[in-house]
Amino acid sequence: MSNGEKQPVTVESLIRLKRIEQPAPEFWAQFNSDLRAKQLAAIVEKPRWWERRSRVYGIFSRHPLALGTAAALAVAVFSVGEYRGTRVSSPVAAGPDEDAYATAAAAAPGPSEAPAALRSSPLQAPARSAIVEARSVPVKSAEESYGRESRPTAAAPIASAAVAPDAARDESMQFERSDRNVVSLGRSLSAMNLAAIQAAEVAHDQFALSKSFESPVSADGGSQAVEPLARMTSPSDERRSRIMGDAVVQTASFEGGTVSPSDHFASRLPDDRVFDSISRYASDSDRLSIRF
Amino acid sequence: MLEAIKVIGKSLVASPERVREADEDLDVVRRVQAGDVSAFDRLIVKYRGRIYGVIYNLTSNREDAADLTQDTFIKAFQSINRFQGQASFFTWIYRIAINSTLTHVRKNRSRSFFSLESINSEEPVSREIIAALTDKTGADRDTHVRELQEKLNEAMQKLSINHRTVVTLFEIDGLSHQDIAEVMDCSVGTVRSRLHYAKQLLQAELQQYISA
Repeated sequence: MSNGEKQPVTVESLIRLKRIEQPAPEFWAQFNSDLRAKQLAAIVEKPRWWERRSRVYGIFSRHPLALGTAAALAVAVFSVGEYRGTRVSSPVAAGPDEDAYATAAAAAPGPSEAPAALRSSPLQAPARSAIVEARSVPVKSAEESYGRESRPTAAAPIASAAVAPDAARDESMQFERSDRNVVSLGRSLSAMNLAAIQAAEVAHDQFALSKSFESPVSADGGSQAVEPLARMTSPSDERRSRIMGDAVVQTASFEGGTVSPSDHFASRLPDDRVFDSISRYASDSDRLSIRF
Repeated sequence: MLEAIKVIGKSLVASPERVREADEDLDVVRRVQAGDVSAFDRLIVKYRGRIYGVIYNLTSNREDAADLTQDTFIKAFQSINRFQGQASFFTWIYRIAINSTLTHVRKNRSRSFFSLESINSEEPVSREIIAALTDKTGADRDTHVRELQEKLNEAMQKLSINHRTVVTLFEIDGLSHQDIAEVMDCSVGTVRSRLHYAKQLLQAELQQYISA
């Protein structure tokens, strides 16, 4: 170079020419003042939501194992708790008749909820009598209430059925005014719960009698309690009886010749099922359709 | 001339110096993390030129480069407590700068115009290259240098942002392949491949200035 010979120009040497594209020294004074202003503005500025979220993600990414283990443990503990709670709280699936238990239990917990539940309950008279009775004697022990209500006499529900909703409301207000003691309130609520359950059981028995529900009788003639699960019919049985009901009735009418199909049908099936079976048939001009 | 360039390049990637530099930076960062906020100014003064140079060569716009450099230091200052020393502060702040620049370039892809710094033709390096390129002197030489600078920046801007970054960090800033791989979060092979491809493109673009 010093001899006047030119060095070959390469791509690398051309690119390195850009190294000397440097700002003037006074540029850095302005740069520093701008940077200082931006720093102060950044301190005052509220962090945006995605920046806060990125900080949370940063915490998670820094301790993934510990946080993951804690999350897994929390899920496991929650799942076990839920599983145990499910097993304790649902021993038997509620069938159509078992709704009485749930209704009475729902009516029992709060004095303010009781009137509405009483009005809507299908077991109005027995449940109401049991609850009103429990409220009128709030300090009665649970055992006493249970022993009194466990006798399924017909007089008690009938007499208590005469209690009007207004009377129940008045008694409820009296109860709220007079019983301020927490201990006695707890006792009365417990007694109420037990009484409501007993009333539901009584009502269930009465419903069973009124529908000619025959409970199995043991060989020695004594009555035997039927388990709720035994009383339930499986969905497959219901479906089979619904589909095959007409065929069975018609077959019986042809074979016997004495039983009227309509009478037999009406005596065995409730009204809604009759309507259901009728609506499954439709006839046009030249065809008959059956809907399953 | 080329020897001088090689010396400059090697001094930037010298390993013992880098290790010592990283230790010094870590001490300063620990002080900042302990509450000595003014210690961060040392890091600003130390790295502002290089950070600005990298961003300027990626954007070819001095105003954008100044803004992005300031944003880089603000982000680094705000996140200084997250710096744990697993990488060097140099790599960390370079990564912040590169990511900010990539975001800016991708966002403003349709709006790019040059705002170039002036080349000091009296610098030894530039004087050698310019002398090799032209025999002209005085005003003609300055015009020729200006034209070369624009052609060079046009050629750089024709590269993709990843190729431009590799060329900038290796040829202009003097980082090693390993450092570039750390900064760009890719493999060394990818860095070499991008560098080779980018040089081929630049050679095709700047053919008229390159000696046969």
